[in-house]
Amino acid sequence: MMAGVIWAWLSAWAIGTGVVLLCWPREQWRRDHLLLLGLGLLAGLGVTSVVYVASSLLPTDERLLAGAVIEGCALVALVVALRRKWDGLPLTAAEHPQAPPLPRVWAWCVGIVVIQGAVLAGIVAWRMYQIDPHGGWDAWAIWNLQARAFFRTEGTWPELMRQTQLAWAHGDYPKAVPASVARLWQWAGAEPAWIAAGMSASFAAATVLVVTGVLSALRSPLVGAIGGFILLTLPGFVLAAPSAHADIPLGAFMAAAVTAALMSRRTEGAVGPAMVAGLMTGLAAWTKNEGLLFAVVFLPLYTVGVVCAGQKRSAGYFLLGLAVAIAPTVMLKVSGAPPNDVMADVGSRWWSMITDGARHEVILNAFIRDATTFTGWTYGLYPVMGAALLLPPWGRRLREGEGWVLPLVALMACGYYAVYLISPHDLSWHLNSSLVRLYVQLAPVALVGWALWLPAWSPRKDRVVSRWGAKIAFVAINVGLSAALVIALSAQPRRGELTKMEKDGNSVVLTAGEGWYPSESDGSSRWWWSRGRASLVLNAQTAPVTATLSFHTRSLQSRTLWISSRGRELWRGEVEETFLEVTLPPLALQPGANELWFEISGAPVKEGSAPDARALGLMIHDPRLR
Amino acid sequence: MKLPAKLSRFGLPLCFAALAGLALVNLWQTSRIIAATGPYSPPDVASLHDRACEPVRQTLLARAVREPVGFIVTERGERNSQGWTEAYYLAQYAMLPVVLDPAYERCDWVVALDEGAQTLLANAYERVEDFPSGLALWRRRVP
Repeated sequence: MMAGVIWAWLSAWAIGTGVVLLCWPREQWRRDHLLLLGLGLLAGLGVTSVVYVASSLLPTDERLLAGAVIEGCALVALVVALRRKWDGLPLTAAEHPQAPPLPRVWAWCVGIVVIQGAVLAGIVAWRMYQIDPHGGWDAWAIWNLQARAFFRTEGTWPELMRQTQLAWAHGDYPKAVPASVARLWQWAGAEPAWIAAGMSASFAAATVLVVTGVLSALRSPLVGAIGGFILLTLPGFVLAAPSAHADIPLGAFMAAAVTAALMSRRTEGAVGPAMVAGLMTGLAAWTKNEGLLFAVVFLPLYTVGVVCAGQKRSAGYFLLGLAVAIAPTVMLKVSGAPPNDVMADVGSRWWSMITDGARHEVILNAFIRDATTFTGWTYGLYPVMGAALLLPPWGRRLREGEGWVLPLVALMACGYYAVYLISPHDLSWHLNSSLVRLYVQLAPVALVGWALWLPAWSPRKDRVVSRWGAKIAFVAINVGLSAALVIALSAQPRRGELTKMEKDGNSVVLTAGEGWYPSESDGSSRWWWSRGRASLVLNAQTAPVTATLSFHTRSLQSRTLWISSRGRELWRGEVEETFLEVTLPPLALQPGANELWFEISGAPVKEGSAPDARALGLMIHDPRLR
Repeated sequence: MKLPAKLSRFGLPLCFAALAGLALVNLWQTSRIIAATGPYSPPDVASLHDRACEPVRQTLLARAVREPVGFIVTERGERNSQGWTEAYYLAQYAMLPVVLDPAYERCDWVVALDEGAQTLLANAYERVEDFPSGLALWRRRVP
């Protein structure tokens, strides 16, 4: 199974890289290698998903073989074409100014930070995958469900997805994500959940490569590292990476289109990157309906820009790439896909919705609120990001053909705003369930747009360290730091554990029993609210052990708290709104589960006036065992 | 060296250091919330539904049932509530290519996720098979 998956993934990358290299100016291959690796992976996943969908509809029982033959022929043709391109042009340095490289010491430091950030991001993404192996709600309700429709039917998925009972699974949605997942499942001969999560993570990794690569190429490796690192460690992005939603892939294709377009403006006469930009725009539309909005916004913005700059051929090649890549989406949409839910049910209510001031207020408030919450940052980076723009040298920052990136983000946000305005769904529900993900889609492009405004940086000559010595030290430091990171992370309480302790070779784990809401946290503090009567469980691993439990507690109103175990009262006291520290007498624990019951006088109190406000009994804050 | 010159030389590297430090602290805080799974972690609901529904799916495919199959769950809230919708979507995700229809009255076959279906189905349907996960397959009685 594993060999098939690796082969399918690598062949997709090879095909995509071949397509992109074929379009890219030969003399820029070496310098743009990071960008090309990212673009290649995205192009490959997009192109092979189209081939998979096409081959799934062939009137043959050997659909996997048919798809493999098509991909194999494409690979051979690309190798032949690239060989000719390789032989035809000498490998020379680019004629335009080279971005200054990082001095060795700086490269060393930046490299260590980036690698440790990647390790931490990888661990957090892995934890997210373990919590939800099948991804979030949209993953199993839409994308992976459609992937199963591909995998579990013999080419009859269009009929299946048109069943009225499955209207909520959005058979009209573009197929890049489900087809990419189903293609790997087909090669694996099974449908393990990790393939869908891994595919999602591949798109995320490609996005980081693209953002880092384009900023390194257009500015400097340090600016590339800044942009790539912010994205790599953005909690909202990291948590979405294995979620198997389509937002990360869409953000990846949009970032790829924008970066290829930026690169096309860098070299006069080089039309290949413009074609890649068109291709990526079409693949964005093949990923999610918001990609169609992106195509509508980006097409005029880019083509008018290049035509005004006298690069009419670039506009033509962009349109050619777009026409090729958007064709599958057009065919899907006109071939009887069910109507889109947002557009289907609005009818004559458009005008009243657009002129409803209350709707505007709700949407604007949500846009402002989620501009921060989507990041998942505890400590916002926005002030530092703003301050970075004020650094000298002052003067003109953007070069010709770079000024449209942030306006593009603003236009996309306006498009999303308009869709919310005419949404037939409950507006609050629609905003709360999707706006954060729309921000995640736009984050890579917005980061590129911001980083282009950063000042130039001209490094001075640096001390030369022994090459081998430096490399060995670099690897050793990273291995050591990564090990320390893993050890520190493994000491954190696991999911479901309130706290734990080790004593005399025995471990005791405190878990929530009945009657608690999910845990809440702020910085390093964690707390749990009870619904009323509730229990905690002390799980002793092997031998009998004595443990002392202490915690802080409070309630929204004065009430009496009784804590008991096996019918014996352990503690009784008055709990107020202010925190009270409680230390229970030493508990003689038997191996297995030992329950503690928390009973309170009076009914739980609603935490607010909202209809769905929780009724809260008692708070347990930062419990500790010793 | 004057301040602007110093900032020109060290500003961007310092900016990287500040951003990287903050970003790592933020991600560390996230790692505290997204804790690793362990023996006391709650199970993931999609895998639970997958495991529970798979024998039913195999039975329906073995019986060559092609038409939509009714779906009943009574212990996950009102119909169209979040709990009910989650159960329905997850069951459908697990059962594909069998299509589940919440309007079970129009179906000859019905999958019941819990025992509450007994009272709804007992008159017009007969229980065909019980599954270890608590699911049951019902079929309309032939008049």
